[in-house]
Amino acid sequence: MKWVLWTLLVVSVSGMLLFYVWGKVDVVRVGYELDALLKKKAALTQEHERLQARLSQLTAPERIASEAGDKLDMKPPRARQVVLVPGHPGDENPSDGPELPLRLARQTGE
Amino acid sequence: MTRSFTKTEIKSAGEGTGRRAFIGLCFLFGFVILFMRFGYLQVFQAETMKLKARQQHEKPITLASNRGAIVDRQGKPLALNLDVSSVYATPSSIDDPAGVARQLTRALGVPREYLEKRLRAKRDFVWIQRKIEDAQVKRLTDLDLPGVDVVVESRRFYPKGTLLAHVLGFAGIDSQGLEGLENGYDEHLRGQVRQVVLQQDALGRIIIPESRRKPQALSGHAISLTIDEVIQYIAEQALDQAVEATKARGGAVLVMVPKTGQMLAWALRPTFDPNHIPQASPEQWRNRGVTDPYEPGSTLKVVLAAAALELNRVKPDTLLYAGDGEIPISGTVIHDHEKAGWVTFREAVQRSSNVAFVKMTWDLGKEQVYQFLRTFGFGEKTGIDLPGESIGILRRPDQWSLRTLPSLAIGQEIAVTPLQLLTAVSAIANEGWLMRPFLVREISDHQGRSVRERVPHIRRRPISAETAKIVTDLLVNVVERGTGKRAAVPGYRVAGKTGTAQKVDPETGTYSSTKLVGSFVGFVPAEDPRLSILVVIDEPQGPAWGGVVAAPVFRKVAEQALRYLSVAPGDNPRVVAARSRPALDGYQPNWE
Repeated sequence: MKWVLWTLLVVSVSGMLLFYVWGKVDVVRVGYELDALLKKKAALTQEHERLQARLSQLTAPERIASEAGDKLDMKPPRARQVVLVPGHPGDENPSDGPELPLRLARQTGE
Repeated sequence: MTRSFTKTEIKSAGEGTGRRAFIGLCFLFGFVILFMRFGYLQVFQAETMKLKARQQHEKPITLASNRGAIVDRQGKPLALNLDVSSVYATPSSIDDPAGVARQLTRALGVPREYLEKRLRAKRDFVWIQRKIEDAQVKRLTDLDLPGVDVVVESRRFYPKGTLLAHVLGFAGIDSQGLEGLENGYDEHLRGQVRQVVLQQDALGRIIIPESRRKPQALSGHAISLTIDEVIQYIAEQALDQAVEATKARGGAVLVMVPKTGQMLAWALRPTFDPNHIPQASPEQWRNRGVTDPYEPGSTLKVVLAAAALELNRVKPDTLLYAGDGEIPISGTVIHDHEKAGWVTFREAVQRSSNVAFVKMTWDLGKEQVYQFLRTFGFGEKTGIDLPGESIGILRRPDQWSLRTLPSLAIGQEIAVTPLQLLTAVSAIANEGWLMRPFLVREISDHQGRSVRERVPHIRRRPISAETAKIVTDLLVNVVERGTGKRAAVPGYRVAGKTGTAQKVDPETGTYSSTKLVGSFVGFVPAEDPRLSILVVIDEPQGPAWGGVVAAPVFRKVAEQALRYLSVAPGDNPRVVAARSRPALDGYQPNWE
């Protein structure tokens, strides 16, 4: 009986030790994976920044005007060629009214 | 049964015991030495050993933070960061500095003597070259030189090149702001540099990224401007064309929202590319919009007319005698372009009559003129969020000579910055309220959360709304019938004033007859101003009248910008297109 108890104790302790070591090893493995992912993220972020800069260059008004004029033979419209469609009253900027400076003057205390 | 040992066996056993004892003693001695060594290392060398162990399994790194981005009011990037490589060396691990320097010269194009000197330095770390091109990195990597390595750094990049260069300024090699907003908002834009410690194994691989548990390097705050990239482009293009056509020395176009003080465009010439600072000079990158005062000439008459009307000294129909078009002043003569005789005040403004304005200014007196000029913001900073702003030149009345008052009537003996003049005229467009101009509308942190929002700020009210309306009518008359006809925008009522000022010749100290400044300042639509615009053309060749060189630039900028902002022409300029642009939605009355 005593022998069985000792055996069980040894097996339990060994099991716990193995579990502990397994956990540690797994943490290290996940750490490696995490590190690799962080490196990948850094590379993607770098690529994103590069592409954003390129996009910004390509959408610059100067380039668009140049492309429209040189490649598409477009010209700025004359005054009478532009028709503005009246919007709803709610579309207007509510803070654009003539009373704005008075309101602000009270708020700024000047 | 017992067995007796022979003599030989006994002798042999005795020798065996002695040998074992000897070996045991050797082991004992060895263990004693070992334990003493353990004790020495554990007790006396404990700190040193701990340090060595830490150096082997911990990897401290500095996380350099990125500068915050600068974007226009629509969120379009104007200043970004790009990762670039920098080369460094550890001289202590280089056996042949001359050979390595020779190879580095071939890869990077840096002088060999300079490199060799750096590689022979008695230091652990030296920079070889900062922020190099990708091709250089590849050449260097192929060489695989001992003691030479590459580290990734962040470099400031301005994707639009010269666009808005004077306002943006630029950052230095260590990403520190040096000019413009980069300098003025450096505290917000630069992030926080953090030191973090990573755990590494024997092969140098990162085991658990400690940085996940420790604070990351915080990127700088992003800055959102009031500037609109498209209007900025419109202004720069129009200015470029004018400067080229008139062969001028330079010029400026500033565009403001008069009701709020928000700057929409800020174009200056000559200009520079902030991506290539070594090729630019301080002359090119100086922001003349705030640093360089100039004599405004007849554009100052807008302020003087407002003063006379506010003080009730004149009305639009008051008759003034402009005589033969000249008036003697303390040894000199001030001329008009043509003989006018009796003119109404409206006509005097329309023709920009110097004689009529000299007489009117005399009537106002020194103190009143000085007070009004100060109230309109001359002789003090506008308070814009740019570094290096000048207050201009406006002497106190007790320092004035007999010629000062009549000179002020024609915009001489006073120097104003372009921004001061635009801000003053914007007050007339804004029913008399003088606003503080500003360029940064919002600052947000690296997670996009708003840190600070700028609100429109009223400085004071130099004139009443009634006076502002009368001045506006006079200025509309200038554009419809007077010297500013070329500023007229089809479909809109434009209010504005021309100016042509002589520059002081630094060699003679007198006014030059050939070096002139032509300018136009105004706002549109006159009924409900959405834009106020100042155009200055510096030293144009040929005709230099403001109405000839500057007014057409105003028209070009105003016409395109109004269309872009969907401001409808006609009797109801407040009607906007169904899809109202956010460009002018940038402020809310309850900001503060």
